[in-house]
Amino acid sequence: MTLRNVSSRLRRRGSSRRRFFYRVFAAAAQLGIIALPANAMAEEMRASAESAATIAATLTAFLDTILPRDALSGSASDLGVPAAIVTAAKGDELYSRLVDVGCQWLDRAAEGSFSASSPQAQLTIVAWMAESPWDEVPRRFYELLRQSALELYYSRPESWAGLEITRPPQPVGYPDHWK
Amino acid sequence: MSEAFDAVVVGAGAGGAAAAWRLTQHGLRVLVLEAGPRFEPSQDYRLHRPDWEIGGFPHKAGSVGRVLFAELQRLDPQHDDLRSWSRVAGRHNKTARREPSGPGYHHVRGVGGSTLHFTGEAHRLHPAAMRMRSAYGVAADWPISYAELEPYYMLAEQVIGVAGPAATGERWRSGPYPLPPHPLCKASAHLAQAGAKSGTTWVANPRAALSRSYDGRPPCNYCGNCSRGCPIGDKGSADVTFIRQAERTGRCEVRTGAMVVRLEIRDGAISGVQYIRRGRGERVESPILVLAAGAVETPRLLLANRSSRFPDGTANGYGQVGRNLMETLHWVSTALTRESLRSFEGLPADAICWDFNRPDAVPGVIGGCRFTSSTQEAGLTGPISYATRVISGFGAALKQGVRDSFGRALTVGAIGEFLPNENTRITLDATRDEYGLPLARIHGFLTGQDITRLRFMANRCRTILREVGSELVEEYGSYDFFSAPHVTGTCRMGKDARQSVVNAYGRTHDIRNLYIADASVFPSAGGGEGPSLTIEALAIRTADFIANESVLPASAPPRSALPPG
Repeated sequence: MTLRNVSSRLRRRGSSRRRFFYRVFAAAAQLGIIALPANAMAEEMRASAESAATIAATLTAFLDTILPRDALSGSASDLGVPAAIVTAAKGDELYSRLVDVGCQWLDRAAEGSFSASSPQAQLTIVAWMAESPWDEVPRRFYELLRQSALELYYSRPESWAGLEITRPPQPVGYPDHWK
Repeated sequence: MSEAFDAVVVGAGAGGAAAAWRLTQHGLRVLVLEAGPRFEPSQDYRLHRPDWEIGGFPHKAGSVGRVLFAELQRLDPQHDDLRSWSRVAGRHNKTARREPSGPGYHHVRGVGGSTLHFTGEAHRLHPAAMRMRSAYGVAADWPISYAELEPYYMLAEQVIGVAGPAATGERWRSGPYPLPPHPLCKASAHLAQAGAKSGTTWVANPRAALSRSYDGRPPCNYCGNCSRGCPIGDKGSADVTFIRQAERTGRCEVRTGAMVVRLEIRDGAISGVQYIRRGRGERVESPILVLAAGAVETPRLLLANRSSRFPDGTANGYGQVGRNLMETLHWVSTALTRESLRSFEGLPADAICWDFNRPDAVPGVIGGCRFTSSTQEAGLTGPISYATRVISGFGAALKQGVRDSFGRALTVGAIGEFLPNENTRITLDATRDEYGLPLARIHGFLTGQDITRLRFMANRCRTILREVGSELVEEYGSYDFFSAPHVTGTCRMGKDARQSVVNAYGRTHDIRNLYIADASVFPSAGGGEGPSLTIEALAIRTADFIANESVLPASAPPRSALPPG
């Protein structure tokens, strides 16, 4: 599946469009431009919230599979990586789409819910993604999210336990480095 | 300062800054027009932050100029051994054609120019590399000799505070370096030991970084991240050296965010320049104009300024502007050593091997190269780079892999001569920037000679790493990516106006008060030497010539009465 296919598939699926229309409808309703039935609006809001919660749970489980907790340092979610990615995705439509589609793919691969799958099942799915064809969604999602997660995770000093550094390079530097 | 200036300098990088400094030394009042911003090292650079690894040099708004690329050459399977790869990502270039890596042309627009993100090697050219045509039948000779340039190298080194070794090799010196060399980091010492066993010689690299306090600047604290911007000011970038000293005289004004768009010509001479600043057009009289915008922007400005007198571009009477571009031919191999060398700390590129730097030192091809200890230059100074470039996979093994490998990366880098060819040049694209100027279009082509030289560089890097018993994890080079921090040669210096743009003093053949003082003027690029010190030395020499000229009577003597060149 190419990224172009992802876009067209998204258009068919309409999840982003649905949220967009919801926002437009909600704003218009507030302005009194159209009268949206209260129960229909509530239904839209509930569906959107459920979708966001599902994606967040799947994303968190995926990132914790990439960066699990161990004896020395916390997991991706312990260090706030999923929340940071969600925040970043809000400002980047393509990235946001990739997150949505990747998480939906993970849930389908898990035949239901990736986050509710066993740790072994999660490892198996992610290992498959890591070896899948470069130009298809699972691999792109794996590579891009892995890159983002590693940058965010290792930007936190809490992740440096067990490494030979304990602080950023400045302001102290390594003045006695040759000794 | 009043609006009347003796000289206007366009660009505040290595060449413009050095020229401005020297002109102020001679008592001239100088205006520097810089298209980019001024950086505040202690505030803008981010090495004190835990996320310092993200994003490379912290560019500010307006500090990157746009360039476009013509389609680059197809990749040939017979050269697959020269394709960039890593253990984590496989082949980096997944196409069948050479591609620009990121912006392709790596530069900084701003006060200090690309010295803000340079490593800070302070190299003199190999004397033999200045006679490529007469001695080896390739490229072009410099119209000046090493001996003529040597006093200017000395001056530049003094202003910067270069730290270098006592032994000079073939680059003879009239005096010692201002500062003693830096101690080698553990990784470089490891390479030097291995080199000694196999017959290669590694020595301290002359560096524009202070080994002791100098000129009110502190010594280097060896954080290993020069190319991300030096926050303490020990790196000899042009902003904290030449510009700082020029401004201290009270005779130099630097206007940032000033994009020069028009060169005014009256009676065959430059009369003024027009520039855009804060969205408004401004103009300044320019008795002397020194262009120092770099080897891409300077030819772009000349080519874009057409007139009835110069229909093909200013100072382009013989169609030489933009030709003879020389890109950076480079290779980098990284391996993991068995034990940690704490290779993230120390001064980047502190050790160098000059053994193959002479123009005839590489077997089967003309044009030399050099090798450096490049782990920190390659950016392997923190956990993000290890996690994303050295260790593949995910999960517990990934985290443990980062811990186990950290400090073990050892990188050997090589930069080699790039000989000018007809297909590597700057032209103008139809696309225009926000100021209405056509964008520069970079044409790049590697000849068979370049590929032969590159293969020698790659194989040597691999051999060196094999000698220290390490395992390759990443390689990156010029074969499949155009990635050039050192770009030279688009307004060649020479004696013959039909084959060059400026004379030996940087004065354009066509316009007597128009000078060029940047990497554009290089007739050849050397065997991998960093160009900044040579740019600065040439610019100082040009400024001396301008200062001498400025006291000549208004009816200046004919060209034949001027010094050779």
